[in-house]
Amino acid sequence: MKELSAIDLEIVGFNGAPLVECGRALPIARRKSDGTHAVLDLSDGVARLNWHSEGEAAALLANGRWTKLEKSVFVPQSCCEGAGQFVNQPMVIYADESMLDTADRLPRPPMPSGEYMIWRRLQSHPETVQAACGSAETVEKLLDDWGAALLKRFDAMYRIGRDDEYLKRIADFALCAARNKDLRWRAYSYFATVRESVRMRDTFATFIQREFPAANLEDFMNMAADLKAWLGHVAPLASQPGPPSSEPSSALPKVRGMARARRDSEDELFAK
Amino acid sequence: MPVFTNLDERIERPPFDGDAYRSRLPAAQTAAALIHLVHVTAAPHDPTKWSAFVSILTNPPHEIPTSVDAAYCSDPTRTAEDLLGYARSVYFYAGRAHPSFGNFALAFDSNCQQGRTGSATPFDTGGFVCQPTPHIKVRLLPNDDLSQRVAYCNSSNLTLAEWRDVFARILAAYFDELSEYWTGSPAPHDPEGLYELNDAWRCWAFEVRLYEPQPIHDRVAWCADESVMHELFRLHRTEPITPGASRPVNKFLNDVPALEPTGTPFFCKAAENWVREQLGI
Repeated sequence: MKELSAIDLEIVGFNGAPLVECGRALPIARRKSDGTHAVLDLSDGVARLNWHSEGEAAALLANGRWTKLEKSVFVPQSCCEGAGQFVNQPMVIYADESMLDTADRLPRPPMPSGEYMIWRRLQSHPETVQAACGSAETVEKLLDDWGAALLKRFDAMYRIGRDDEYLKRIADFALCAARNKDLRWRAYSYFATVRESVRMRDTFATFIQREFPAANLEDFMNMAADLKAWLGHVAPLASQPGPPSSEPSSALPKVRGMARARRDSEDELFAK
Repeated sequence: MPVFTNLDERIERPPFDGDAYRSRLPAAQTAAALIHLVHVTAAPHDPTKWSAFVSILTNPPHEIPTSVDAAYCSDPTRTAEDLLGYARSVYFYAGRAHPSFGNFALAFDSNCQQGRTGSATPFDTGGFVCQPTPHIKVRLLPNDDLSQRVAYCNSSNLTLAEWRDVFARILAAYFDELSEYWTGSPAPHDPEGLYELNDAWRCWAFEVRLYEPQPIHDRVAWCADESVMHELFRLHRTEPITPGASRPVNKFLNDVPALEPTGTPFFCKAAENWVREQLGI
């Protein structure tokens, strides 16, 4: 097969559907020379892509297998070099305005991490949802930025006494956005502060424990309780505890250490 | 002449290598006997369609429908089935996640075809007969028209009882290493050029069709993208937790946990890697 050049491609959509307020998905590329479409997964190299005819792509679109941008965009420059050889995996990021507004991230950033991104509306979707294509690395950073901004918003809203339902929604958005493990751990902790503990135990067993195998329910619940008490005073996001190590033996001391560190910093606050 | 026709005779003559074939065959037979069937699906953006999947998840009999379900399968699928004389089917690929358009992939073990009706073909039939221009190339005589293509498909058709044996022989004959079924391509030695004129793996991935709906709880592995996992997180936390209450989402998430707990855009790759790990390939 002739080496695929990014110059011959346009990004016409992304795989799957935007089921939630923000996320990322593999781009759907269209080859300009013959109209064929493929899910742009470069993990095995461009030669291993499976191309589908226009008709097949249309049928897959009709069945909701992928989502079309109202107007195509170029393959991001950060993903290719020279005559269009791919050097990085492109990724599509999508976001709903309500989430971005909550995160205080409107207007959508045109140049995150110095990378130019063109935001497009989605076909058959409300115009409040838009998507852009960037390098996988930049997209992940952007999602984490939104996740961190949402936790900051949570802090502020908690301090002014917003109701649990509203806070739960912000924490849920943060979990939807955050990809970085530390950030996700923090988002789960925030979520736990406004979740009934019996429900949280269920969530812990089905989701948190799988994501953080070294975590322990009792420690997690204690940490959430501590966090709740702490949020009442101040919300220093940067000093929030990170997730336990994936090594089970080291998890407990770490969590205890974090709890201790938190108590110490609380003491400092009170001392002031 | 399908890729497996007279293979036992052809394998003894160049360009094949009979000795190499025989040395590869036992491992290929083991892999073929165990290889999982993978089904890729979507959770469409249309709320009614997503609800349709939630309905599969939350209401008995919890089955992936056959292509008779207009919301689940496209018209071209039914057109191809009518052309080829196949019953309405649930589509799987042997060890491969195809087409990779969608949100999640489910893997079923080899027992899932026991007691079922269905058929198999050593390539993606949809791409072979799609109109106006078939996507998969071959050299057919006297000409490459639709009737010739239908005839080629029909002669490539295998029963559920025989496809794993044929799959093993094709793996041993056309692939230097079993892993090349995923990472490489077959040797271009078939008469019609199916393996010579195409470089996409849909041309050599075995398509398996089951003619009855497939229970989702029979899956042995699954992987979804991040949006599906977050949506399941939301569904899970609204399920009643009172003793004795039905909790289908909880059952789905806990009976067979997802391969990637937070989901991944590379869910197809994750499902295929899991299959290879299980087979030791």
